[in-house]
Amino acid sequence: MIDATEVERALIGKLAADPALAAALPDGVYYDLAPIGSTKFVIVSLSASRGLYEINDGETLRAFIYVVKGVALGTSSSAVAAADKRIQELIDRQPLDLPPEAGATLMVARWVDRIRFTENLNSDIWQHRGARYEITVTPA
Amino acid sequence: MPNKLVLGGFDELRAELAALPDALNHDAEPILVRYARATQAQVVAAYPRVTGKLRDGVRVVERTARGLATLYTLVTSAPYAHIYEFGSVHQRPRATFLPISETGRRQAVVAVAGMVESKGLVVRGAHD
Repeated sequence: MIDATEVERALIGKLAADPALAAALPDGVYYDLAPIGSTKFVIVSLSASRGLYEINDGETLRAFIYVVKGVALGTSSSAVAAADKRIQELIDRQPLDLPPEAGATLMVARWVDRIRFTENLNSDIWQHRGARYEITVTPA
Repeated sequence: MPNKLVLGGFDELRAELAALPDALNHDAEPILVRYARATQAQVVAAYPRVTGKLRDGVRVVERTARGLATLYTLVTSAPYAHIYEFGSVHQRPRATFLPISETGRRQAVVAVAGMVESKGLVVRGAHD
């Protein structure tokens, strides 16, 4: 059985372990929300998922689409730009070490589409930049 | 006596092939409209009703491309739809429009492929 939580854990772990990404956004990599007070961080969040139910009753593969974005406080987008570039280098068509508990091996990890917007929150400007990535796995 | 092979019907076949895109486009249109409207309804139902702007901003845009095909594009036009979808600093992403619209698009493609196959043609890769 494919354990999607372990797939997410592997993805977040890979991003969190990267020194270049940590240099750009030092407050860490989080699922959905960062702790209050964080000003430079990476968010990973599930955007969509699906199986190919036409084949083998859906047990052939699972595709997970994740939002992976850098978030930083300020009008400068240099930190999120560096993070965006590094995230793409780490995920797009790159391997992902999945533990045995994931019950899966990677078929493909790839860039899907771009995310970029600026948020004005109580007069504070926040930069959001990244992409959606597809992580498709097959049962091990 | 020389052998002679005569194949007839080429003119008719050529005429049928020339008319095929228009005929398929005509038959695909109601299918696409049905899926676009159904997907629109699903997105609207999934959005919360607070100010109503998220729900009111979900529209089906119709346009004709180069006179060959009619496109139906589902859009979400509320000014904060992207923040709802991808998250703000203090609010988690709430993936709604993209997963629903992508599923609707795949279902529409499969339905149109079924219609095309019903005409005796072969469609490959229609699952995605």
